[in-house]
Amino acid sequence: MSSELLRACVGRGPWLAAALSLALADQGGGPRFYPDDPLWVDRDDRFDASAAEPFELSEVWDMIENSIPASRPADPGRAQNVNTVDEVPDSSWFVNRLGRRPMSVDEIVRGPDLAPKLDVQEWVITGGKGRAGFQPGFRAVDARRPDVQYQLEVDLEQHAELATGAEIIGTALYHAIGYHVVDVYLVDVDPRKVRIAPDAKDRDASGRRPYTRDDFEEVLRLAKPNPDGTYRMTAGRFVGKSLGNFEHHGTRPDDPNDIHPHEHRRELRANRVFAAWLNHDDSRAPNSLDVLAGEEGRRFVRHYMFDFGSILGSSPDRWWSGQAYMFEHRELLKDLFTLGFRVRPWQRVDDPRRLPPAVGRIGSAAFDPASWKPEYPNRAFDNMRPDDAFWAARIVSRFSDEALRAVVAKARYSDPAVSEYLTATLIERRDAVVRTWLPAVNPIVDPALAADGTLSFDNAAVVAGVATGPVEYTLTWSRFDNAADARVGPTVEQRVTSPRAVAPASVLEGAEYVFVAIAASHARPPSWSHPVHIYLRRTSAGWETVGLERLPLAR
Amino acid sequence: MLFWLAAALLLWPAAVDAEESRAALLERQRAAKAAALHPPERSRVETLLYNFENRYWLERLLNPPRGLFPWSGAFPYGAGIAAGPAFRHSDHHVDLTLRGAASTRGYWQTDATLALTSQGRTRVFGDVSINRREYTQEDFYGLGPQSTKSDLTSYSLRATTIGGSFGVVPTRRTSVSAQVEYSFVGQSSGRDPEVPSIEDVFTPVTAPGLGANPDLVRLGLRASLDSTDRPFGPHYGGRYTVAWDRVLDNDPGAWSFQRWNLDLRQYLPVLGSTRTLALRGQLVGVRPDAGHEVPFYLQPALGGPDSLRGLIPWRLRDRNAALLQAEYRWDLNAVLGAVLFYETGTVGPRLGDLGDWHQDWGGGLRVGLLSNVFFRAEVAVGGPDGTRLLMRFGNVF
Repeated sequence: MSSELLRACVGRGPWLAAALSLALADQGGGPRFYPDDPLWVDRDDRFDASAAEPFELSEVWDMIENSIPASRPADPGRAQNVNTVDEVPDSSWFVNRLGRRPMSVDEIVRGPDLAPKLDVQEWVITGGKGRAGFQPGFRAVDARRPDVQYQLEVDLEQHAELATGAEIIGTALYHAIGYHVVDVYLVDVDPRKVRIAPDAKDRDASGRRPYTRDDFEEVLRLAKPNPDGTYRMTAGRFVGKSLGNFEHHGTRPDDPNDIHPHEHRRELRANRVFAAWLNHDDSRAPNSLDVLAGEEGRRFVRHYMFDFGSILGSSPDRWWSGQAYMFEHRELLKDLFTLGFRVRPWQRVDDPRRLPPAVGRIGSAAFDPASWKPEYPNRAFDNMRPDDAFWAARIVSRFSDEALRAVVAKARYSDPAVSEYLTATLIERRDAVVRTWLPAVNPIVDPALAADGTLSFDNAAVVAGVATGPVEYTLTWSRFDNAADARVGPTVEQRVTSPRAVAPASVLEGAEYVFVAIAASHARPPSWSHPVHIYLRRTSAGWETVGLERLPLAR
Repeated sequence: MLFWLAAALLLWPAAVDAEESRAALLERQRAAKAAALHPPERSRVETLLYNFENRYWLERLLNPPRGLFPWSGAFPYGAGIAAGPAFRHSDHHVDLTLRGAASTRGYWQTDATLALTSQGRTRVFGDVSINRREYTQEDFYGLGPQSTKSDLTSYSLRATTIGGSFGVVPTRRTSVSAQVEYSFVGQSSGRDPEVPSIEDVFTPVTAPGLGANPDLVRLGLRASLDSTDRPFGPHYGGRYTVAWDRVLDNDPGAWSFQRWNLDLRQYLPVLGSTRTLALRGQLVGVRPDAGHEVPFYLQPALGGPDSLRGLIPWRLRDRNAALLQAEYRWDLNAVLGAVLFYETGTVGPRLGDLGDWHQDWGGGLRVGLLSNVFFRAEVAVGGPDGTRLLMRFGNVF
């Protein structure tokens, strides 16, 4: 195995070779833990990335490449960017928010916004927005702040409030989850208070040309005005120099800080859970954004989740939304030879035509988180393991009903029925996500060994109310030699019926590191019998949980 | 390669150093990568696709808002492969298009159109145009429902038409328009070397207008109601059109007539939005003024990929034509759909005497995006002309 890995790395450069050495060190004699473990902040902003160049993906190529199974070799090893306690450190990709600390409802609703309201007296259009996305729009600045540019987008008349509402909700929720997102504001634009910059340009199939008032009027023509003559739009701020998109596999070859293959980043793998919850079927590489951030001389690439205008099933024409990939040849043949009369269960429910036009193709009755699919596959989603999904489901479980109701209210739907439907649907889909993914692995969390030798832990599935407690927990204790990465000495087994136990004094006495494996006996989820491995380190302040592996046998 | 191997081996001891920190380890990996950066690269195929998407190459090639572009013509079925230059200049007010094309079978056409484009919420549309065309090998099998394949002849048709139209959209789903045209029409011998020319088989009695060169004025009215869910590939709703034309022979000749067309289309979803039952009924007729006739080439025709698919194009022709089509369409994925169809139709000299209905059925596959058919391949069976394989751009109805 080592020689194969080494050959692969030799062909790909020194940084991969370095990664190899780390991987082999983990498997070899140790040490397993370093003094700064668990790492909660990955300083992936330290090497200057000023030389990184804009790189935008071809959407068609991305779809083709990812739709070919052979281009997506299965490689579901453990996520490579998790810390030793199986969590995702803060980085240029992700910042722990709701996952690690309580957030008030106001904080969740505010999201990335720099101000509660974008107060613009006069918009100055600086250019067209090109073809990106389905929503018509343009680029503009606040006449008083010409240095800050926004992209403004309207809803199509036949689906008023649909995409703009989705954008607002998706931005707030993805921010609370922990992703970097662009701040987007809901604005009512008065056409009488819009002027065109003299140098504004647009680009069409015949090249660049001046942006005119007619172009602006054309955008308005496609939208539905508010009763007062203004137009509801989203205004997304340009947050820096765009470097294009990031892919869901490999790394950026021009970013020195980007060392973990994207298909092995937990936050990208587990985005499948968040995307399922919100029916973000358009969650794909072209809807990502890399931005050059930082100060002169020490630039780094910050990675954004981008463009939530099509979440919540906001592309009603996509009848397969969330239920099937665009291309599934076996399903295609079945549909062909059954003359289309093979009605799948999800085709019987959630017909959006029965709902107000501001509601997209999203429901809860036929929602199965485990079988949810984006428009087309990607390697990060393919590699998602139960421990990745568990991590995401815990974050989802922390969104309260109140918070979800408040986030939906931020979208300011004019029809109360829309707000009610979306709130109820998000709550029901949240519960489905939690029911599916929390009990799917041994859900032991938050182990802590007190100075008096009492070990306490929680069962996330039981705490969330989606599973009953196990008959008993089996704890297997031993000392751990960190330098050798090996358990040493005799093992001591305990059985307890509650998530609390007293560590054997024979194991603790004089030990620097202690290992305990916790399995649960439960009738229904057999995965609970697979032990979670926990490593505890003695410090001057007591015992510190330094390691947690939820799927230790699946490394 | 040896360099990278050496680098990996050099890094190895550092990685297993017990005094190392996790942060330092990651930093070491980043330092190694920083020494070997290179820009992202696209493959040639990806670059090509990227340019099509982001530099609008396809639209620039086929339908740009301004400038020169190639045009494949707008010829009737069977004209062969056609190509020619076109020029367009359009803005938010007007669209000027100049086009010309010629085909491998000797067809050619040129036209110039100046059209109003949508401006804000204006609910009017209109255009003026001039075109000249010559079709050299059009097929004619005789009039009536009993025409036979063996009577195939060919004829040429040339016409110069100057005209315009004006319409309003009173509501979002309705439109009303009027047209006026002046045409100089000439019919002559066919140039298909493989079939006889029309005058060798038919006479002015069996093919009215044979050899005539009328100047015709057409005044038309058209009204439509569209309640479908989308302009292309609808899943539900109806699309109903009624049109009436008054055609006057400018000379004191014998070619004045009325023409009417009733086209009713209904789309019904079947168990959701991926299966559609599409129905169409069309009735077209011409009625000559007393003592006048309707040139055979202006009489309604059936047959071909857009009407009776089991018949050769233009196989049936007479003063009246009736067509009933039913299609069961189902989506296979975002870009592929399947269809089963049944259709029946006939022609006749009088509306009350329509008989001898021809029928066919078949199925096929359709390529497009979200039911918007770009290309279709179909097999039609059961018609009098045997099994027919059809490949065609665009939908049937």
